Amino acid sequence: MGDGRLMSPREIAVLGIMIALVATMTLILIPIPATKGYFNLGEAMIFFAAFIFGRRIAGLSGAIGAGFIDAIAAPQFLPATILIKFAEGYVAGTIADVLRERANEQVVRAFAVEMGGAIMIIGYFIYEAFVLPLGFDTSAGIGVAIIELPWNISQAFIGGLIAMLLVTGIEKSYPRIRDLKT
Amino acid sequence: MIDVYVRKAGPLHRLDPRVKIIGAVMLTVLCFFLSNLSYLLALLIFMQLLMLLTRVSSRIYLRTIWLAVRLAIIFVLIWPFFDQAGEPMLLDLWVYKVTLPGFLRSLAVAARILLIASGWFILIFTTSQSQLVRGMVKLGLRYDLGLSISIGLRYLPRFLGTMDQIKEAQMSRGFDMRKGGPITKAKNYIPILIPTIAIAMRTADELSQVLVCKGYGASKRRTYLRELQMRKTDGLALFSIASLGLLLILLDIIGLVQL
Repeated sequence: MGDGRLMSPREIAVLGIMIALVATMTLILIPIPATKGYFNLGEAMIFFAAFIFGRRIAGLSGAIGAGFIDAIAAPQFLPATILIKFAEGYVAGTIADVLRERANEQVVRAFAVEMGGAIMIIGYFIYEAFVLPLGFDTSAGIGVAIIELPWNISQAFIGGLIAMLLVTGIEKSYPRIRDLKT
Repeated sequence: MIDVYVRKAGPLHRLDPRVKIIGAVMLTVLCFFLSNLSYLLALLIFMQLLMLLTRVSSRIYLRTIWLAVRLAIIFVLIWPFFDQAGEPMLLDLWVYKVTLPGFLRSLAVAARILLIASGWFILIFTTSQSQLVRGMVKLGLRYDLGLSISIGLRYLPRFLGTMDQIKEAQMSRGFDMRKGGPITKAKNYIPILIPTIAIAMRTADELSQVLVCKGYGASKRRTYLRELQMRKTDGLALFSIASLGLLLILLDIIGLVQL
């Protein structure tokens, strides 16, 4: 991709399935009893894609999968979601790829989750604080963004944790996943 | 829940998907461009009239737009804590001061949020998923990416079903999902996620073989069974969307109506 070459059949199939998985997991809502809020597992699938299939699949499946759910649930976040989730998956995948040989795998993955998660948290903060109230006094936007902040932080943290557990589990229970890596 | 397309025969359903996609993108850009409350409100009323043309039941519409309404309400409620500039004062409760200009500014942000939401809802209420992808490919999206998106949308409901099945299977073996705090609750999903992902990966494997068998990528030029055709009404709609957008941006730049 990028050089005008079409994606291989395997890449198309994997990307399509990952889009469906990211969207499916974004729909799993886990309640946080203390705050009456929810978080979803979409992040976990994006990081999972980043660790197994690399940055392109992770970025695209994050942007399209989560973007689709936002389009039917919360379109006011759509422009932000497409950009943020792409960057999140792409950065996490790049870090996981580049550092793979250099350090302990779990440490590298944790670092990739931190960087990708930071992009997500900061991205939504900027969108709520500065982009939605564009052209006005933005301090009220910062107020709203601060209220949303704990949700996004816990979502990134738990998503990363689940993704790391999933990768280990899947590599054990379905070893043929290696054949799908592109 | 997943496919919110409403199968009806309205004028907006017949409109070319390309026109609707361009319209929704333009509206989003326009929303961030405009900060004038009167224009935003006029546009919002116009979009609600268009929403009537989609013939979606008000129950479905209210349910889908609720999240956007909630965010809009939060903005209006929180705004007076921070933006207290201007006269006259409407309400003065210690640090919570509502001024008329501040209130109008918060309404403008709320209108912007609702506008983006209703624009995209009109698009997905009136356009089936396959039409949506076809329209995007015709607008210049690479068709291999379009194919991936179609696969994704096609398998989304199936994976939701698979996951429910696995969940019930695990629960029938005595697995209790409800125990624990948020982190444990998330971890409880792992015995459900791993089989789901394994099934998904096997599907991906089979799909890639199917694509090879069907001769994907054999020829550079792709042909289509159903071609999209722009009709006169589509052209007219595109022209009116573009001119309305440009007119509003122009008016906003000149600043004919001040907030």
